[in-house]
Amino acid sequence: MTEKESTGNVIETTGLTKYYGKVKAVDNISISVKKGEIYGFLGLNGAGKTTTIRMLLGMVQPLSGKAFVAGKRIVPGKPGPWDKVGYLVELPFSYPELTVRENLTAVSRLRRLTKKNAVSEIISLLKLHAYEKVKARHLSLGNSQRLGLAKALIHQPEILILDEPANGLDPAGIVEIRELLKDYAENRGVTVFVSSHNLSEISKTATRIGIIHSGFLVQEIDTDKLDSFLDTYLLIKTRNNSSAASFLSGKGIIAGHTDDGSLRVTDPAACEKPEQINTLLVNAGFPPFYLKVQKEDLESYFLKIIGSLEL
Amino acid sequence: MIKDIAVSLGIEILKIRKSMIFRITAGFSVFISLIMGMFMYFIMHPDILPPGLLKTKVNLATVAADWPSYFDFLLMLISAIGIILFGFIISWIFGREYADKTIKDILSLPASRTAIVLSKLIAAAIWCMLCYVLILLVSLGTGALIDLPLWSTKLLLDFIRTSFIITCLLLLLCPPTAYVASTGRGYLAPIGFVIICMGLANLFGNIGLGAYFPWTIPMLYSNAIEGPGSELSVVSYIILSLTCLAGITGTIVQWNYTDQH
Repeated sequence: MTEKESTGNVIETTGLTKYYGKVKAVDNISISVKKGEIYGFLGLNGAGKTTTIRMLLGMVQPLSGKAFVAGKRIVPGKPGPWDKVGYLVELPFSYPELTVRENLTAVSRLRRLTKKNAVSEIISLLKLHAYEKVKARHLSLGNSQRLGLAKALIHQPEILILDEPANGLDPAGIVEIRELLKDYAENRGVTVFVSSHNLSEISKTATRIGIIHSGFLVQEIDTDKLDSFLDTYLLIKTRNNSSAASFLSGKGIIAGHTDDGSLRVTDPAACEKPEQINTLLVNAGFPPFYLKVQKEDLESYFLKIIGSLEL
Repeated sequence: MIKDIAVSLGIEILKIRKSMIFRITAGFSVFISLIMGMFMYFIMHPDILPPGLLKTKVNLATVAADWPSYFDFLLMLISAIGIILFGFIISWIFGREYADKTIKDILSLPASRTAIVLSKLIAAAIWCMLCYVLILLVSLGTGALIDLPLWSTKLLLDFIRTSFIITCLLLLLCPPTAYVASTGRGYLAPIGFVIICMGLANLFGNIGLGAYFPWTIPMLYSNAIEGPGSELSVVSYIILSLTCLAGITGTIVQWNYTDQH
């Protein structure tokens, strides 16, 4: 695929592969992100997220495959669409001897920004007023992260490529950044590619999620359909779980034991009509004192997907 | 490209100006110049020294306490200390981006990586020149203060011309150190490289091959090393220029085409 063959997606990779020696960092990853989409790139540490991001930013040469950003083929050493892209890779580091304002001024000059108050505006947006005269070496991790984000956003980019942007932020900061990214995507049409190792967090931000593990893209899910991928199960507690489980087994309903002393029934019919299970157990002399239909949580789902690959 | 270099140069100068290392190198330049002046003063007045190693050394010194000897002494100092001082400066300018992990912030910008590399080399040259000017001014001031004899304007102009040429020759040795800093991703590798080059410069100078080893050439120009094989020729300057060119090319290639982690 040449530059002209890019399909109009804002971010696109085809068969992107990178090995470090014999270690597969990224293996044949093909993803596409449309304008205004927030694509969550989910994986454990070392899954290949940062290497993929570095290839998208032209910092690492792929062994094979291609990456396109804003319709332009990314090749290290060649000009890229960097005036349209804001990015944050791994932990945010800034020049320690420069203040917050000086660091941002340096970025604004390197990006040739003509807007006079670009630095003041981004300081205001990221709530860095109190620290603008503080040297970067004295910032907390959370404020360093804010400065990193400010550097990524200062030129009002059309595309944001962010590697774990919530790192080091407190809960209020995480919510703030989440809302900021949503606002950029929904109201300004900014395309966001954001990596994370936290499914529940990324599911609150992203419109689509790609799960990467050991360099492979394992699954892509539209966030609004995420619920359909999650298992539903019925949790039951009786005074005699073993006998209740045997009884249910006799009725063709498999009940497993959980660590917290519950019976776990995954049968879809039982989950849909738990009152029938309740009636069965009461009539058999095992009245439940706890009965709950539970949705699998996102972290469990993520770990299940990852775990199934390692078996 | 020129505009990119100018913008990036402004940022480099800001970073240098705000750094502690800038003040340290300026302080070192002043200190070393004062030491040279003091040494001359002790040669002029050995009686003020208490008995000891320093007095013995001063008494054994074959250098005369006058402006011609002082200038010769300073030329040797600039050629030898310059390798270390300039090497340190270039190591910091390039190595700090890796040590402070700020390199990734300057790789994917509208300004090209080549422009950034060139602006760093120019910033290093300006910084080195400032150190040279500082050494020059403090040395001259110290010489005047201790009232060295045999002053002449012609002598001064010769000294300025020769010391400036030595400084330029030393600047040509900076790009290979920039390459080592970029490949070694930090300060340690380039500083080690500079120390090894300094050792090799002395070795090659002493075995009569100094005219063909880039790091010995400024020392030979200053007459810091004398003896057979110490005459510089066109070949020496070609070797030095090629070393500089290889350093610039290598650094640009390193920044543009190798994986940046």
